[in-house]
Amino acid sequence: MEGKKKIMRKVYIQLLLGVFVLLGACTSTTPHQTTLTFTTSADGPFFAGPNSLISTYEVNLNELVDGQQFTADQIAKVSVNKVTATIPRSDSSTVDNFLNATLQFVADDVPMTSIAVKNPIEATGNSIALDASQEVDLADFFKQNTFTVLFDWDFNEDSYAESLGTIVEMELTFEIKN
Amino acid sequence: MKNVLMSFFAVAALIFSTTAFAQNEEGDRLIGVWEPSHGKAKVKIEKIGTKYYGKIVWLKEPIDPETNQPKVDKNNPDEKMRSTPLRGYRILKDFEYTDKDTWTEGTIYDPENGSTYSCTIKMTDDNTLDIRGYIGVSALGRTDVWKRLQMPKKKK
Repeated sequence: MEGKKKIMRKVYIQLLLGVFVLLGACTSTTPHQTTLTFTTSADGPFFAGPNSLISTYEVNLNELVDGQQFTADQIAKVSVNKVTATIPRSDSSTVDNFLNATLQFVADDVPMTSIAVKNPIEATGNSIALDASQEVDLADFFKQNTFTVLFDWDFNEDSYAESLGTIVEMELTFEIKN
Repeated sequence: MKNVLMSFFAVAALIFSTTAFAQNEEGDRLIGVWEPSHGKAKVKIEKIGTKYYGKIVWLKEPIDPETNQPKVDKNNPDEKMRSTPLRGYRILKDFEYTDKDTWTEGTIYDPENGSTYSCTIKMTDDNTLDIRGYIGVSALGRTDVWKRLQMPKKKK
């Protein structure tokens, strides 16, 4: 009788371990790095202070990560590693025309999220690297059909340029459920 | 019968689009520059996509006396974002127009303590807003009255 109990206990423990292993396998994720580019723009004139450049991004899951096919439900987390902003050479503005810059995402079904900031801007030329949030998770944005990229330049004085464009390049890590 | 059905759907579509347009126009009354009761800031409310957002466009004291630099969001829970300037900061986020002069589903951020609260906006007249911030239940909150910034009349 005692021997039977011991065997049953062993079986239960093995079953429990099996369940844990299975659960672990189901919830494990694989990180994939990718770089996305957003071309934001706005029409002038621009008054001193923050002005928003906007881009609408259409999510195509098949093109987000090279060689990876996944569904929206499989996206567990999207973290930000690096953000740079570049003003095309065709624009006459340079980054020293601005006091600071911020990047946010907006979508109908996701709260507005602040992603990166550069304040103050001390560089010259046409490109800056922003300080990216290490806590932000952008997964919900990539589960939408579209979302809006909002890039704010804080102009240090009025500008009567007809328009301004900025290319935002983001290095992201997608955690994809296996 | 087919014609009757077609007419019915055409009328229904027209009513739906007219209602949506009117709803849109009513919601847009929130757009403008507003002043909270403490008078320390002015907030510009704009529409991005289908929702409304309010950013600080003016501060009574724009310079932080501790640093002698323009004020930043030094209480942001996310350390990396603490250099975000307060001028231009969107403190009202994600408001949707429901009806009866009310905008809901949004949040308000208090830069003085780094906290975000659920928020509803009620327009009591064309130039006055009741902004109610709360945690959890609307009954447990605080209401502030904001006034629309009136542009000075041009002299003739």
